[in-house]
Amino acid sequence: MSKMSTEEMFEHLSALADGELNELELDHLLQALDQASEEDRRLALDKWGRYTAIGSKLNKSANSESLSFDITAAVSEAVEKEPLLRVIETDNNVTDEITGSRPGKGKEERVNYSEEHSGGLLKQFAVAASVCFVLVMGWQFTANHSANQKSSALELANSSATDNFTNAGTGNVLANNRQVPITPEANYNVLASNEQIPVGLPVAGQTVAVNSVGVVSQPVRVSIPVVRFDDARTENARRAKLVRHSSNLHIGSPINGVMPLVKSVNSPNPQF
Amino acid sequence: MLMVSLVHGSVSTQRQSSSQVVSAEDWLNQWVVNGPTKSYRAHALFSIGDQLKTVKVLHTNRGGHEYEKLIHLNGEPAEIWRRGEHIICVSPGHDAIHFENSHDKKNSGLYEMTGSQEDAQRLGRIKQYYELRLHGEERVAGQNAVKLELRPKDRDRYRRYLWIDKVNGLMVKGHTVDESARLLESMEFVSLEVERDDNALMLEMDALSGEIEEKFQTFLNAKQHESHAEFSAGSVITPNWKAQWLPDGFELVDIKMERAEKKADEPVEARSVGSYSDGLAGFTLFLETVANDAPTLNRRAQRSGATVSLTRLIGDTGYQVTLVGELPPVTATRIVGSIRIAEPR
Repeated sequence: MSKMSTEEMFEHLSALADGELNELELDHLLQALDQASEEDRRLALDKWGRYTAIGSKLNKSANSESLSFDITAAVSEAVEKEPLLRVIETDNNVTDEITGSRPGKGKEERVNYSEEHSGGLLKQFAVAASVCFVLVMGWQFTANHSANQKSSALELANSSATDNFTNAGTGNVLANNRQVPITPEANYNVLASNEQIPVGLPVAGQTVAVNSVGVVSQPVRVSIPVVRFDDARTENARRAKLVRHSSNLHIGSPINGVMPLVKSVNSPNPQF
Repeated sequence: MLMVSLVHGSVSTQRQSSSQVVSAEDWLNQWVVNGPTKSYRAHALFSIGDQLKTVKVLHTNRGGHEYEKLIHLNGEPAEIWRRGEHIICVSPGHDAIHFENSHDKKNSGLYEMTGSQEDAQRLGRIKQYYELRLHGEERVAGQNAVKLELRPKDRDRYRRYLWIDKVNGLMVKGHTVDESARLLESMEFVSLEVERDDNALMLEMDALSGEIEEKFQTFLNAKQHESHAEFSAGSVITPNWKAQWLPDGFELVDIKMERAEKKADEPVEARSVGSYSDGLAGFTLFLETVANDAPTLNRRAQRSGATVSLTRLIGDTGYQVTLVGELPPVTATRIVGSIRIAEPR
């Protein structure tokens, strides 16, 4: 993996603040920050603060109902003050439970190979980035959504410049491995508290408590981006590719055993 | 010590009884070389992303060809068969998908080795990009198994753990782990019966469950009436594409150009499919021309367990690239971003 240059890193930061960074690029950025020098990291945090301050001003003028207050500056400020330990404890929960796009760690203790933990500053940054990422995504979704609302209740705002990262076979964003119901008004109030996410499916408008990230000190209204499953033909094309790849891998690299084949049978389309 | 080196020296020339096998590499070799020749019946658990799958696995070998059947026991009924180079995948809500192994040894020129040379070369590559370690023994599916670790030497592939059953040399458990030590997917046999007489196994493989049988018949009928004209050589479009960046050790093992079937649900006109492998992990690149009216999949990404799938339009060339593979998302994104087309449509 080549190292991202400092300039690229700042470009990515700027893109992140604009909500134009997909999750993969975010991963890349976080990795780059992890490997960056102290000086670059400090610069990065500075820039991040500035980008987000600008972003929040723009967002205010964009007349978005869902992003009802400015959180970004508060996040970057709070991150600076936040004790390191707490952030490390909670960062996975933030990404898992809000975006649902990382493989679940969940509450259950799964096999833990955690020998390697990366640096503290990175973690702090990751938390801020995740929170803002979700907020920005949420805002984008709502903005797009209101335009498309007439076409279908399931229509997804996928026209934004971000990748829509879904968990295969479920067709909607998973919050802590649970399905989020898809409704046109899928807005959730995300409250900062130390409570666990309540068990059971949240319904539209319900208040979802998320583990505290230690940086959000007041209720935040967030629209969770709801990702529609691809329509039938794109889904079939995607599935055909998965089978093709899996079969190839199964025969070409027998060391993998039957795992690739098992994966080639995806869950059927959800019934909605 | 002398014993150890003797065993080591002879392992490539003759099959060792499992008690003599000592190193991680030897265990791996056992699995790769002997695994395909065994006949067995197993029940296995697969955990992929947020999905848990229970599967019955049947495996045997006839005349050098592997026969395999995977029956999904939970969720919607689904079956996968392998007959040598053919794989057929049947699940409800979808058409049956047939796949014929494209590792066409004679025509591609990429594979002109015998099976054992291939295995040796593959193991050599694995050793080059992964560090092999032994982690003692564990009991899996009622058998004693050795635990192997394949730890990547860079960040462009995932770490694996394999458990090899000491008596039969079969892989009975496997984990795929990402860079921050999260378990992405796992499989584990919960029962394993190795058969000497494979006739019973063959009978079991031929039996089809009701819904699947129906689906399969429909598939066979459609297959009979299918016109292969679309795949004739003359209609193949060969896009001149190139990946400007590939992670170390991933080699092109197969490439195919083809014209897509003219089906209403297939928005693609022509494609070129390249498979890459480092001996263990793999990914497949699909370069496709996109019809103007096709819904765009641009910048769509999906992840399930260790498998990512992402699609990008390549500028305004009229081509899109899709990567499907078991790679860290960052690496996958980088590959996809490096694809260039020499002559845009």
